[in-house]
Amino acid sequence: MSEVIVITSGKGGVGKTTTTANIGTGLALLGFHTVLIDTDIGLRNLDVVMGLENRIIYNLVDVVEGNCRIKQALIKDKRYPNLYLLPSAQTRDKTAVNPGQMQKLTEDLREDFDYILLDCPAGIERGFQNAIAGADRALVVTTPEVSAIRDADRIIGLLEAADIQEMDLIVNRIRMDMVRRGDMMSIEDVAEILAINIIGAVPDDEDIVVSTNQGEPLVDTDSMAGQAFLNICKRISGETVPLLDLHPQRGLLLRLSDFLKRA
Amino acid sequence: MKRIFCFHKSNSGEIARSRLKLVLISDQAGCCPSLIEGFRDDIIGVLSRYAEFDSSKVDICLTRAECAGIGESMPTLLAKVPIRQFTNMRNE
Repeated sequence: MSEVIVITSGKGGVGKTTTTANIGTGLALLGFHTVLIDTDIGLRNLDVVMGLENRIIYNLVDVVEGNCRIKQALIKDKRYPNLYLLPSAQTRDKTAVNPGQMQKLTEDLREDFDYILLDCPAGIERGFQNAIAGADRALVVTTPEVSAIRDADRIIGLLEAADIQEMDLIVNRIRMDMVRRGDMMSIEDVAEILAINIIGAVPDDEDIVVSTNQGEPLVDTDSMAGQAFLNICKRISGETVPLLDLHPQRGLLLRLSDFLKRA
Repeated sequence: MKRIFCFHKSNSGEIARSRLKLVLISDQAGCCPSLIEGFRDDIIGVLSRYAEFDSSKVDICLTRAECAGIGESMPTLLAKVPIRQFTNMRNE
């Protein structure tokens, strides 16, 4: 049985595209046939995060307008045998596609894929409505910041109104050192405020920047963020995986300097 | 341990810079990056009939340049091909 999952947040810049790229790659690594759809028409980015920008010939709008068949527009990721990308169009805008067309597209893709992931644009307008149209399930990405959590709450309300039954939260860019100091909301705080199941927390990790620079998702590396994303993928597929211990190993010197700072 | 012996992996910033150049040029020209790759391969193919050169030294890029006489900038293809030797086909 296939599942259509939209990755959304309301606020921009919280890590939707990075999350889509890494979860998609992770699901493919776990052996699931996975396709990623960039629904951000006019501001496409999933292609560069995946490192597939040089292979685009057709895009989402071409498929919807019937300029090509779906299979012609799907880019096969040569690094992962089960992974495909349907890139967005860069020279059009959100009105080039309507929710009905998105619903039909995701319905058609169910035949060939286990997971269809939709990378949603920021905002709650047409682009958002397009992205959620065919979704069974949503992953709401937020960061432990007031603005991002407020927008996530609004998005959760809109998803409920759109009758999307299954919703989970990903807390991205958490910094355990700041949580420990009491300068950042903890995962538990965010869960309590939004009253939604947390499917995973991803630490703020500089390896993410390196991985995006290179156009290589880090889900199959031993970085903290990579491990966190892989755990989320396992939970999506129904496995029970305990929450990752995000406290980095700290040497004596660091602990001493922390102590001195506090003193 | 990896953190302690933190030899920085590579200069991924440089990779990002060169990837972005290509992406931005193709965005501005409204064509897909695979088209530019295609350009490069085809131009190398045609030129190699006339001259000998090291294909790894060929620098082909799409940019925007002021067009003489029109006064507006348009997508412009720039190619730098260091030629080792011309193939003199008439003497063959």
